[in-house]
Amino acid sequence: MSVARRCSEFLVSRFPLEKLSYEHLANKTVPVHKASWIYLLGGLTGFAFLVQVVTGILLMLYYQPTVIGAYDSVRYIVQYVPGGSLIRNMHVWSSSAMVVFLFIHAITNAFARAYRKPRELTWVTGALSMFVVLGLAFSGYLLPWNNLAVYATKVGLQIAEMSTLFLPGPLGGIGGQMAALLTGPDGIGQETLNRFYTLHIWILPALLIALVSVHLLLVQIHGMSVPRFAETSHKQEKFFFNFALKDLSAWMIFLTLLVILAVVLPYDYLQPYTLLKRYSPLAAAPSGIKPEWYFYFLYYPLEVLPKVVVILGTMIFFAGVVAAPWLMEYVPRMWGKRGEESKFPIVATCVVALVIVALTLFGQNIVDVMRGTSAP
Amino acid sequence: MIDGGNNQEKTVGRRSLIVYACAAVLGLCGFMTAIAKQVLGFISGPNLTSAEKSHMVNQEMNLLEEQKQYDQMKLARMNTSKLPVAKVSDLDKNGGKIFTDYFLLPAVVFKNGENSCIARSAVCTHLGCTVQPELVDGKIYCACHMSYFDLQTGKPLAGPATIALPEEPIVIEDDIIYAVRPSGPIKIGPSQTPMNPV
Repeated sequence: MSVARRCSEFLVSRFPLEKLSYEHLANKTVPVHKASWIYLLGGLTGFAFLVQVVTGILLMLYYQPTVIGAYDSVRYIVQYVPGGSLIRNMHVWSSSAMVVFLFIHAITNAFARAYRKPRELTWVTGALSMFVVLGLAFSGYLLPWNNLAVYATKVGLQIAEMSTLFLPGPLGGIGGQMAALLTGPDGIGQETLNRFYTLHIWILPALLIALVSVHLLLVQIHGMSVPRFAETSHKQEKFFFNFALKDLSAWMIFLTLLVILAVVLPYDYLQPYTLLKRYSPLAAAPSGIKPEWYFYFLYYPLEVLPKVVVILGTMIFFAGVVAAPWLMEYVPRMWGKRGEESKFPIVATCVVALVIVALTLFGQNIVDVMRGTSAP
Repeated sequence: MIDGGNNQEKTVGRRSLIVYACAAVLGLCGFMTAIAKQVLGFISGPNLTSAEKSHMVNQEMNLLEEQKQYDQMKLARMNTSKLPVAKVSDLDKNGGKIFTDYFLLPAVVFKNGENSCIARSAVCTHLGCTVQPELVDGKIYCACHMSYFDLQTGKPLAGPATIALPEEPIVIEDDIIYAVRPSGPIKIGPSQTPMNPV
């Protein structure tokens, strides 16, 4: 069979568009079993994104993407604008919540092996959206233009620059060129802020919406995947309105908790004052510069292990995440088992989940032990 | 009302349906009103006192002044071969000064003995933070990840950095320290030296 033929057959079988009808949508059902709560997580991630869009648009009314104005405009929002502190803190906390939901959504679907045929592309679009979400988080981190923001971005750009240095010849410069594109022609300054702002409010959200649209279309035409242990039970409930109401309740509970969190725990209270001072090109970097907590699993290994190992490892890991539907099927075949029977997918998922959780929670302790120093 | 059929389907009577629907609509209206009030308040903005307003305008003018100095420096670096960056009399035994060099990157100048000074790039070769302008036990210190560098040679002494901080050429004339334009083309980038490759 020719390659073009195989490609078109793959696409036709993965996009059975004939299922896309009003009938099908109206009569959509959701499987009911012990673990059907995992079907709420994708919706929660999407709802958190909706909160980001609404609060983000509101913040744009006052935020000034300029080196002179950025810091003060954020202070102005928090101190003077009615409800400004609430909106800003909802935006910050909801970004963390979005990453948490996304992570649990990915891990639970990996355990449920929801990426199996014919849902490979659902997984791939989800994995790509995850990278876009991390990009949104990274680009948003710079916007307040305080010490924490600018130095965390400098460190991030430095890592991008180093990321390809181990490659031979001109290939080694790719990372540096990417970092230069993000930085702009005059070093870290106004152009950098413009570039990050454009990415944050326009390019990355547009990309995310496009990816998630395909993701949702695929979920709609293939229906919910059922984990293996529940395959024997055929209990279903209607999407309209039984499951939709569950979705809505979960969103409202999240929104309530988010508002409470944004009111009682402003994000800035968790950071040392020196990190929240206005960035000045003529001042030294204070101690305690760290990325947001969801980058710890990349950042802490970078502090102690050789950078080549970490960067190469991260690239392979990310590629592996995207290619998981095929890896989980074909790797077990190397020792003669079919993906269905092998324990490999579950073991691999467990290892990845444990490593990420351990590095996120105990990264600093692990670094201290490996360096032989105690925490400062 | 729940009927006990085989398929466990729940049905709701007409009367309770109307009650539920009314409650839901009322709740939703209240919820939307609360949100609309909050959002409208946010959009219409604060009523500042004139003291607050003048404080903000003053602050902005100070910032514009700083920006003007920075822009003047950018202009000077394009047109002159040396930039005034500090005064010798402002430095003391351990206290140096951070300045912006010809690469538009932070650099730092320290006293080196009685009458001479030494300048080095202030971009830490570990991950690019700006090093401290105060010496710690005679060593240059980066607080980000606790790297120490030798003042004389720039070599890393402790911490995660493995590459030396490059020296920057300076001249001193009548108490004023000038950064000297490096020979060759100036390429602006995140750093002027390669960072630790491994």
